[in-house]
Amino acid sequence: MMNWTDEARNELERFLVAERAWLAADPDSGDMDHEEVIGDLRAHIHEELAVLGAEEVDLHRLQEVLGRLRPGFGCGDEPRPRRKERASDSKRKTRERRPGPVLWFCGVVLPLVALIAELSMGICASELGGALDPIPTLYHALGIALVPVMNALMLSRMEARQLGGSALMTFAGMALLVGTLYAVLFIPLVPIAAVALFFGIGLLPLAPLFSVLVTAFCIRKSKKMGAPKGALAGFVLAAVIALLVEVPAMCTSIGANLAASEDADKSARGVDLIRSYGSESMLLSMCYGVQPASLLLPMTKLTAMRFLEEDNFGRANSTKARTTYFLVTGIAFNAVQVPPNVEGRLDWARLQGERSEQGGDEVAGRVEGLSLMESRIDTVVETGASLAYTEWELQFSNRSDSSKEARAQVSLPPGGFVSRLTLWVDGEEREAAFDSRVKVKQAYRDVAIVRRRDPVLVSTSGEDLILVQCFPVLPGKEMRIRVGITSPLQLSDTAEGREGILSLPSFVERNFDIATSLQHEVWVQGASDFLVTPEGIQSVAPASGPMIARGSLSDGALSDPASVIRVSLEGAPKTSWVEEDFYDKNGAILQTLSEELAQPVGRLVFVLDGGAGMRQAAQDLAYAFSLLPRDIEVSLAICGEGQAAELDPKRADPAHIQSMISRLEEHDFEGGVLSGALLARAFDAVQIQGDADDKGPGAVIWLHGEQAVNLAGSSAISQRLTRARDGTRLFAVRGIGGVHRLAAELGSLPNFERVPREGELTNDLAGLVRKLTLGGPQPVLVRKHIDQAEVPEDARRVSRNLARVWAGDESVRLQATSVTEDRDEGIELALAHHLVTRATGAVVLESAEQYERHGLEPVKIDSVPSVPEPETWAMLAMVAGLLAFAIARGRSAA
Amino acid sequence: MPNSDFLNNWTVQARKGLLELGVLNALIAEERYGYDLVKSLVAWSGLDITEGTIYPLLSRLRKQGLLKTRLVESSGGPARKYYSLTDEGREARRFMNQRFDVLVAGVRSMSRGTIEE
Repeated sequence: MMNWTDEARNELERFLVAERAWLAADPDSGDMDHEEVIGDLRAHIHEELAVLGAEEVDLHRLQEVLGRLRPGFGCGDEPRPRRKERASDSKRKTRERRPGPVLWFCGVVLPLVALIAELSMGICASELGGALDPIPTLYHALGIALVPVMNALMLSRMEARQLGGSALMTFAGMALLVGTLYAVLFIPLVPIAAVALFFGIGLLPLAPLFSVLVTAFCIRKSKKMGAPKGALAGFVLAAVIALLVEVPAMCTSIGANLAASEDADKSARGVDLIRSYGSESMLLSMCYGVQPASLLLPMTKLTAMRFLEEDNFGRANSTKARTTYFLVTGIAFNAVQVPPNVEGRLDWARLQGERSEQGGDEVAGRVEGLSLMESRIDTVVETGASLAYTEWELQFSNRSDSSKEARAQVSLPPGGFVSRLTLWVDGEEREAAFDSRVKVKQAYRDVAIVRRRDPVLVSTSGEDLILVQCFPVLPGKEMRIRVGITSPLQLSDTAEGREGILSLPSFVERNFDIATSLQHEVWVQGASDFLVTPEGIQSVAPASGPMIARGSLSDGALSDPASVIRVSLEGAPKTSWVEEDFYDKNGAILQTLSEELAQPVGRLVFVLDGGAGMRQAAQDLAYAFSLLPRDIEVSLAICGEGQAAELDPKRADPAHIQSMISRLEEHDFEGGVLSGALLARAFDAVQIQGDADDKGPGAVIWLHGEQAVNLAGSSAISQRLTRARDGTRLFAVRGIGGVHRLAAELGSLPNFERVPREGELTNDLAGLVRKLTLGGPQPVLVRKHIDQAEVPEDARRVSRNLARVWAGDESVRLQATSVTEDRDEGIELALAHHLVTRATGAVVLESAEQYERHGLEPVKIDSVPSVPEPETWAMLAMVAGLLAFAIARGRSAA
Repeated sequence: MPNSDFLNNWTVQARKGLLELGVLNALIAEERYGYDLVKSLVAWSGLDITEGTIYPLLSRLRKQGLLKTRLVESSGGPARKYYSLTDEGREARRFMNQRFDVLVAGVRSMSRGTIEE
């Protein structure tokens, strides 16, 4: 590194000014690049000094070199530049000496500050309401960073009088493209920024414009100094990259708007566009009100409006986007984690959205920072009554800095009812009040959402579905609740004997995260052997006390419809009873194990939801086809199949069965499907045939996947189910876990039957097909209200849970009638037994004063069901044995 | 002895006309960086030129498309600019050498009373 004296430096500049004058005076000056020549001379001087080994460049040493370059320089014979040239040369001399702090500030400091500010605070992204997110992805951040970096490199080169290579110029050209794009995008903000300059806050929006001007200046200057080509290539290359990066966002944005259209064709085009070229992650962001990560979104909007005749580009709001997300992916938007570009951003719109969803009837979107910390499921199986009581204890935690509401839709065991609800307040257990659905919801909204105190609410949200809501889970705190469920066991006759099937409750939909490491701790106890348990649950036979099945299940395993526990009912009594005083002090509920003769059907239409995740289910269905008898008439409808299939059932000859299997194999299982309209067509197909002959009633077997959106086309099938009087029925089988709004909605209608899952889908479908096509006796439990005097001698007395199950069924039956008195009676029956039904709910409030104000009364602790501890269990068994002995002796004596 | 100003002027004109050809010929074998090229041209006593006059000429030849340049980073100072002939430059050099040979032969033949084309 050479050290220049000030005299030498000034002399060099004087020489270069003189050279410029010489060049200007040269008659051939138009044929040459003056700046290039000056740059060459400068490089030559440096080279010469280096060859001379000069570490210190003083005036004498420099003049020695200059003398060889231009003999006579310094003797006053150089041409005098014209006055105008002298003035401009003087300015140029200043500029050449150092790029200057203004260039460094505008080209490097300002864009860096703007980049850091936007990355850390997301000012534009939040303040512009999603209209412009300047840094939607990491790639955009890197692109922006290129501008100050290249400016800094080129300015420092210019300071050192060095020229960059072609690589540097290429990157500079890329930076120029990035800067130009951002400068154009921010042009609408320039007037506002200019005004805001007076207040000292307007510089940041001007950063793109200022920095790109510096980039352009540096490129021009470098070229004049003789830098090689490359800038144009870099500019073009960056333009191509920008287009590739932006295509997914543009297609997602246009596709989401098309998909939100009322026009079915347009909507399907939108879904296809997103599937082909769009981004699921960006669509997921739209579900939370964050627009696709597109820098060119404003341009995209204009393009779409101009060329696709989209007159309403803003209709793809978060609600519509949630529907589109399901149609594109086949899963609910809240089944996946909040995307990283949504989580952690200062997004007031999203926070407002979260608040508006609190206390609502839908689970809605994932809430930032809310997660399930612990989960335990304790179940006691009463084989004597073929029922079970399950307690699910859940502990939520909130890592965010604001109060959150935890919401979840929970799938109950088939035929089950919530019979207990507990909230821990300051370490104490508080039991719920059961009352009409309207009343408990009003109390919850008032106490939770308005007063922001500590309630938990449980209400039904469909057949065997409940909605659990707790608020507030305070920032940095936890909230613990317990839901008690009384449910009958499903009966199944196997070669080994009669078995009871226990399903566990599981999440269908939730607005909180569950870590993949979290396990649901499961403990099941009962008097009989546990024959089959899901993987992760082990059956244990202790030396004394009840049989136990214990272990842990991941959330995915718990939600799997095939995760059931099979209990031996060998030796279980055929009749059981319990006191019931709702109607009569001497009343009793008698449960009898009986058989029901099923009439075989004449025609079957299989409807398959052909969405994502259903391929395996389709293979299981193909196996079920092989079990069909030849004389039955069948057809297959695949929801999502391109062309409308012929639904009229035909004889199940091998060729017909093979054609149905081929269609299953050829179908592309992708995205989400809406099956309401196809179910109605299938129902019509079996009904019309049923009118024409007398082969027995028709049936539709609907193997469904997930339907996470609201009920498009549900009215047609609802109407048919409600009006059908010819015995035609619709059997719904869950192929995979997840939310299914249509199945939940249809669940309470006549002629609709949810087929409980008993294990593997192949076996369940095969069992259903055999049952429907062959008919024959099926085991059923019949419960009825009688007088205690009518209880048979051999009936076993069981727990109050039997009365709860009976009351739940009876209440639902009464609530479904059109007689007001019956409906009221149904509600009273449910409330007397502390059950959550369609018309009743449960709420836990924080204090006695809150219960009183809302006209509610919490359940007394001695009247709630519970899972007995092992010691209690042993004692109860002993007492029950003694009681039975005493009763038996008393009766024999009588 | 004729007027020395006349002879000086004639020498300058003749050298000026030949300088471009000298540059092109200097680059026929390989590319060379500016400093090295200038030093070698200056060292050729017949041309009798100063270093400062060559860079404008190089710039002009580059703009005319006869030369091309590339920059190579140098650890000890500014990047070195290497010059080489373009295809057009090679063609021009060949043509200029031919014309020069013809001119020299013609001028010399004058003294013998005949002109050989």
